[in-house]
Amino acid sequence: MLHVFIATLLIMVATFLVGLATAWLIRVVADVLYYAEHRSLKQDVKTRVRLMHLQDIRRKRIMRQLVSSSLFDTDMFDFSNSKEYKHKTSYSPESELIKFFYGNN
Amino acid sequence: METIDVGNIFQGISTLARSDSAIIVARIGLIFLGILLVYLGRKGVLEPLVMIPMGLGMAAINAGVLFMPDGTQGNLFVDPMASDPVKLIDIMQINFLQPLYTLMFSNGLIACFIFMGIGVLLDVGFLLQRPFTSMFIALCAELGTFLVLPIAHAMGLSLRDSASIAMVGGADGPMVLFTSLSLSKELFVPITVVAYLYLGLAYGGYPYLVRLMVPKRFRAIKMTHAKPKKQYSPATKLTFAVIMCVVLCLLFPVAAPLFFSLFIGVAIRESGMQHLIDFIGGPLLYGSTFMLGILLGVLCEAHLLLDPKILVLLVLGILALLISGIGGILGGYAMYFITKGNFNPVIGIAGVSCVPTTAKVAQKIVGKDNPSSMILPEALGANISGVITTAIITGLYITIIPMLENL
Repeated sequence: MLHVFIATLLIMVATFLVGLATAWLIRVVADVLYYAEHRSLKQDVKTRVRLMHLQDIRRKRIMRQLVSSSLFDTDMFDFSNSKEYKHKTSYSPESELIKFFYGNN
Repeated sequence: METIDVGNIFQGISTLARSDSAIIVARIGLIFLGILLVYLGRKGVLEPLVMIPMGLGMAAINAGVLFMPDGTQGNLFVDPMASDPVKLIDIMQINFLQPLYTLMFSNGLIACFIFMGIGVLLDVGFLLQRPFTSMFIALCAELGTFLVLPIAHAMGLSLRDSASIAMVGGADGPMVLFTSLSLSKELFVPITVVAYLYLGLAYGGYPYLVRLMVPKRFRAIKMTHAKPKKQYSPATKLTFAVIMCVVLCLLFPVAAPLFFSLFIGVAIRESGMQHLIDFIGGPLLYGSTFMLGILLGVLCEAHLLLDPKILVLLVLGILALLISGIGGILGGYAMYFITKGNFNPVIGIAGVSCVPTTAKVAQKIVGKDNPSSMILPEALGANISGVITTAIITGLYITIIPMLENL
């Protein structure tokens, strides 16, 4: 009979330990998942803002480009022979933007 | 000319007339008990989902006894004691509920289906928000599961039978079914019947226990939260279900079918597969509960329940549930003192893992005394933890008890 009482006591202690360990595991898993999700969300927002910012810069530069040079060209959309184009292509990142929008030709 | 024996036409009555007095009393008593269960289920005193089919099944099985070709008394419902494969195949072609019993009930499949349904209904967010509080309450509410083991052994039951009946304290039908199937095959039927009978009674009985142990001023406590609780996305809950399922299956392979069933339900819920959610939470869950109720009813056959151990099981079963309820409320009081009064002790009763009955009972009691007090999220957290702690104990009992017997 005594061994049954001792065994019950041990099972009780083991259950408490396993139960609390499970609670701790739940807390850790929940926290890790929660922060991972919110970090990725924050990252997502940051990336979007940066992209919008870049697009804005790109748009402004193209507009500046058009106003400063192309408006006076015969073919306003042909940048291949423009001095501005050749000048601009010598440095980045604007050259890359022009390439992206109007091709290498 | 051959005479017509009227008794052969109305065999239900003639079997009654040719039985022992104990069987006659038991059969008539069980017929009336069945009718009473239907009535109490209809009234809402007991859980109607299980009690109405169970009550009618109980009344029908004890009324519909007939003479079998070999002259013994039997029925055309089910024979739970049949285990010989050849006999079993014969019986399955005759007894209309035998295929359900053999292929769904006695292997625990019906319990797993119910667990899947419970999983689909569970929002693990409540558990993720407060794991330690929920788990502490649930552990306290397992007091009956621990204490009844030595008590039952002292009353003359074997260790295996003691562990099986002690599991009633966990108030989790499928777990009791699973433990008794694994540990005490001979008492599987009576233990399961006793367990489900009491689980139905818990719905009606626990409010009295709560009112007895928790004064009105405590019951009306409205909990306040200093900062808003974290809200977890479905993706987080799904990942949590997957991790917990794998870890718990790794720790307790004996209870792996139940863990899997519970967490697959949670995973389906959080994946947003609406057709499956509707199917598992609707037809599968309600169909399984209905079949379980019918099977439990037809298992309450007088010959089967006249086992001398039944009375002992009835006493131990109610004792286990009572001690667990007391343990849960004491856990609620402990949390009340730990949180310096910002915890409603009634939540303790929800640690008894009769999902979601005890959580509903807790909210109903608190809502009566203070309609502005909302404890359901905390109660459901404790309720879900109760399922996990009961599964842990099932795993420990199934693993340790056979080892103890060999000592």
